[in-house]
Amino acid sequence: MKAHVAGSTSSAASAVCRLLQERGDVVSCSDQVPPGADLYLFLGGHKAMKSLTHGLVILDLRHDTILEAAPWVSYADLCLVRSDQDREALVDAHGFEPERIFLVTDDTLSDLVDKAVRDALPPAHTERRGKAMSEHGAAMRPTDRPGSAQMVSLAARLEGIERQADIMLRGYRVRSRVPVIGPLIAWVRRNLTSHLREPYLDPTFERQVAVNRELVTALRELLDRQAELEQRLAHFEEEQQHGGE
Amino acid sequence: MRFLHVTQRYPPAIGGAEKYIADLSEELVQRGHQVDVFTSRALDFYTWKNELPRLEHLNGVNVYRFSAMRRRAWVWSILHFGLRHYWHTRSRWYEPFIFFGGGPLAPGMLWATLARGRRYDLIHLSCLVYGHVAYGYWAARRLGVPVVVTPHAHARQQDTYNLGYQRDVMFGCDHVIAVTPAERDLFLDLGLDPWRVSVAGNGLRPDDYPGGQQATARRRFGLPDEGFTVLFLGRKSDYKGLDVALEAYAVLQRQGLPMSFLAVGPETDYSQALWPRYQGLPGLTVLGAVSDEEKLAALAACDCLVLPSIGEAFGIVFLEAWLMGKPVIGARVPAVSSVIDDGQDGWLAVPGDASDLAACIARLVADPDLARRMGARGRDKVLRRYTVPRITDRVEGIYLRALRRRQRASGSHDGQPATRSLEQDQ
Repeated sequence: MKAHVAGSTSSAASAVCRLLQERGDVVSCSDQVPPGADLYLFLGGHKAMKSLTHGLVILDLRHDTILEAAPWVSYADLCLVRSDQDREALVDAHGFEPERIFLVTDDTLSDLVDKAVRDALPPAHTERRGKAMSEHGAAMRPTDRPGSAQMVSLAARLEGIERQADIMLRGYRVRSRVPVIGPLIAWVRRNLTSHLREPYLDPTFERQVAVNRELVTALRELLDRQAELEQRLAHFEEEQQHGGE
Repeated sequence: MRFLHVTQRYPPAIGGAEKYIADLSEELVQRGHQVDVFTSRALDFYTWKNELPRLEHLNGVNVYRFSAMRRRAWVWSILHFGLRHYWHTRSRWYEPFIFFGGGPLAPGMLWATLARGRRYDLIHLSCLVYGHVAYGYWAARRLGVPVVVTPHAHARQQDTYNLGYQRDVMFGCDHVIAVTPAERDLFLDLGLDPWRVSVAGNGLRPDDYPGGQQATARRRFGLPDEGFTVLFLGRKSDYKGLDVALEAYAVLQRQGLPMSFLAVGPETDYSQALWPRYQGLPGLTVLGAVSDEEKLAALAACDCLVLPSIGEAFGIVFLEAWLMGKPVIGARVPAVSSVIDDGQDGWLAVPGDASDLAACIARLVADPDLARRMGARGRDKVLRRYTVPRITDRVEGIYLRALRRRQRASGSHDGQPATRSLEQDQ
């Protein structure tokens, strides 16, 4: 595999070059970005990132202590960071998808590169950010009250249930791998079951999905209410303490 | 590089999705790309009436407009028939009715995409709820050109993203661009691959929001110089939460807080029915549709923006308020929660709960410093994440990632240059 390391001539770049060479890759290392590589690894922002239409582009921010090059994550296929804090900063402050930000060491980099160039990399740390922050965000902030840990745990369980609420196999398509007549077979199979699926099974399951979602909403409202009551109780106890003093 | 944007309408037609694609197209042109837009000639989506010229060059963007079939009453009936039966049966037999009734049906646009699509490096489809996305996608797939889509889905309206052919488009596209993390979650719940769904967001140009003298702006609307002014800004539809905002204001008025309320935005039947209930409420000023300049003055005049809407896909008005240094209060629904950081740059109130909203406003009235700090944090956030150049960075990055994934899948780049520029294309 042809790899190019760009963006810096520091010791960090030399270390990455060595690592890739040990894997048996043909590695070049300079600020000039050559054509035809399978992998481009940047140790900081580089204007070539804005126009690379081939290969795999990795932005290595493990040595960027203040995440100065964070805006360049937009142009990378994946991004490497050195700590959970950096990862959270890229997700929360800059709004990047958590799935393509990887926490790696030099030992795990080789495996990651292998999978990434084959597009066989599982997403890193899939999260549901919008929902996690949304309906119960304020009520679910941890406090130092004894019950808050359970509340947070309940909220997390609720998120899990919510993810499973939709029981439909939405992405499922009837397919056949038989050459030439495969589409015909798939069409026949689809139409053999459609009289059951369309008027009966699908509506029934959709109703179940709606019930599941309603239940989750009701539980969430109860949880919010519980959190609110806990906050009020804490406030009340605090007032009582001050009154006592 | 060369990009084709296929969209249902383009400015001067008004709308969030229209502004999004126009800002994006113009910024890409400024960066040296060539951008053509295929769209309808309509100003409004109720009729798809062909009013606009067939070809325009707008700020460097070539806008090709195609005649679409008029959406008359019988076409609307077909749409409603399709939707009614589709949601009951989930049968794909009803999808053609929805496709036909939704429009815009512009055969010229399909033909032009098929005939000229190969000239472009990538095709970007915008606004999944309309039919142009379906035939734009079909043409792109037929030609083998990489294609991405910005669905602009509303979580509460499944017909904006969850019809069979809409799911087919999203599953088949090289990349799906969401405007909020909540919208992305929605797509991941549908089963889309997390690698192919990214968040870009909406953006503004900070120079368009120069700020202004609060006292002067208040005099313009006849508002008192002193006291706290709450602004409601948006179309006064039922889901926008105007009733909740007014109820919260009435609660605070009863508590004797020195306040005024400015409601700005186009009236609807719903709002007209609402006003008699709040007639005589002290300090209430109501304006209908206003110009951009009046909108800026209203934002300058207020102390906070309140929009407890439960149906926002993004809520660009929050960004506008922040750019003017004002704190905001929205409803705790997924899309808005993705934009407002509760307690940092605004508050999230319980949807439909006037007393919770009143409590949020009261906190800002009681602590003007907090309000200022929240407004300043909001402005910093917009400058960091929600400007047109920042959003364009994200979309440009998504284009490149989609192109690279295609190249990796085909496994061949022999003789290909490392980078592509407009000069090389020409």
